[in-house]
Amino acid sequence: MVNPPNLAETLATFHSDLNRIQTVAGTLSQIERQHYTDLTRYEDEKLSSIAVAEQSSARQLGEVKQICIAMAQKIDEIQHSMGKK
Amino acid sequence: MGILARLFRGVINEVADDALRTMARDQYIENIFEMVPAAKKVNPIYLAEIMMRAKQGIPVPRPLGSHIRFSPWEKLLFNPVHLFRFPTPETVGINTSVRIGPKANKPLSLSIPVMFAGMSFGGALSKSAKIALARAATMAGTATNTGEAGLLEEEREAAQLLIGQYNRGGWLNTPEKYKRLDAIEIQLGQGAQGSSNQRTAAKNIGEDYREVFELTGGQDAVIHSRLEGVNTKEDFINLVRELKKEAGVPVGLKIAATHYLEKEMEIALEAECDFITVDGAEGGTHGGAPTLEDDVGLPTMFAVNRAAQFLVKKGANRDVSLIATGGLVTPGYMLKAMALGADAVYIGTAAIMAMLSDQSTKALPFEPPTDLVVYTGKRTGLLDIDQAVQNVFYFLNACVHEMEMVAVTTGKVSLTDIDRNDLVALDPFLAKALNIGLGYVSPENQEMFFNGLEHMDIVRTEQAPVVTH
Repeated sequence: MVNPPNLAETLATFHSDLNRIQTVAGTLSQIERQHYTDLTRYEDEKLSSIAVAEQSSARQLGEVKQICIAMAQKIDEIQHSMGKK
Repeated sequence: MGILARLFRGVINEVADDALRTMARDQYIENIFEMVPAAKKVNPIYLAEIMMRAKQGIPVPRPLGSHIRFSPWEKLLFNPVHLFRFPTPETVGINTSVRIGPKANKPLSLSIPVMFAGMSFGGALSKSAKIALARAATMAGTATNTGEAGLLEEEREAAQLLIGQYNRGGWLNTPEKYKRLDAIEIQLGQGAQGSSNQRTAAKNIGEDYREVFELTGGQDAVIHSRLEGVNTKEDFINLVRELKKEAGVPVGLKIAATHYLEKEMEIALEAECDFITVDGAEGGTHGGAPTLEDDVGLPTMFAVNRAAQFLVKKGANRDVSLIATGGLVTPGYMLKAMALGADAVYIGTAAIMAMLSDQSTKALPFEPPTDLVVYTGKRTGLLDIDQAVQNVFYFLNACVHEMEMVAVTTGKVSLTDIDRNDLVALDPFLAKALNIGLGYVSPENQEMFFNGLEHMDIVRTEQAPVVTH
């Protein structure tokens, strides 16, 4: 028989994973932004179109980072309320 | 210069000389030049519409909304910083993401705060144009909107984030349809047409349109002035609660901006709407009566300011998202609307113009470029969808990049951090109405300046509450 997972431990794992995803998203976003800067140095239409895609990707990774922050805060709140009980 | 060109110039020269001589000689009353003061007096647009009304005997459906620029966006400027507060280092990424309906079970998360407004398949746009907008929105990490239509499968498939309008035609108002949306916008009005009823004649409805709207042959598509089943405030509150419970996604209200804005919003808050969309008088449309477009509503600038102030007053500005729309055609206008308190903006006309861009040559000079994208257009087959997607995606990217530049120069790290304190007004009345500093005088001399005006009984000194995100 499989034991039901401990909720407090599961939340702690999720919290840790979210922090990791947030860090990765932030780093990747920064790299994508740098790619945009690098690629726009060349006056090449193809490279410029890749640069625009990189810039948009950087913003979307920024969004992922914000989502992770919001989720981690939510988990904090749940953990806090569980601690009170 | 070739023989033909010389011949052409010679002919033009003769004609122009003759026209000028005739214009100088003839009495005004029999002079073609009479058209110039006449058109200037009446306004060329109104003159053409007088002629159309006289010929057709019905309200003339003018595309793209009012030509009048009601909101004086150019009278507001952002304040750059240098030492007092430092600009944002260019190595810092500007956060452009935003959440619509943060208190909903499943908030709508966007990478950028610019979405595509409700422009319906059939009632307004062709299938190709709708698909292009959906694909471009997905590429940019934002949402597109169904408009008042049924659920177009191709649009749903292409759009990662789709906001659907629970509409007065009833075409999207069944659970099997609205449960497939990422947000529901109850559409009770629009800036260009208020809450008036509209009708698309059966002769303009093709097979694909009939299928999506579930119309029978020969049946007109009718948008009623009221939403079916919503005849009291309580009906509306019940509807919002039911939709929230059933769909779990953010449920909002879209209205035409009006001087009754606060009274309308009061009910939306009571119903616990997750977002409110205010569509200013500059809002576009596929075709609306000129009187509805030019003479009904409230300008976007004042609507968004009042709506934001009202949410602050009610303590709801962090829980209920505000979406501004109507005439926001430049990134500057969009960002100013956000600085006044909007969380995000919808664009319509600008997105269509961007989509057309260099493809306009396929219609010009004998047809308007919109002939490529409107449902009833004769050249919709000529629209290159891939090119249209790229044009719109590039446009969004450029717009948001320009907004990021403003964030850098105002020393902010997120677009949502930009607020009215980052603006200066170039008009005393606007400064007072929007609670923004007046650029004519230094911050410490504002009171003295306005007290002077108060003595002249021009303005009152009562302060409006300050909005912050």
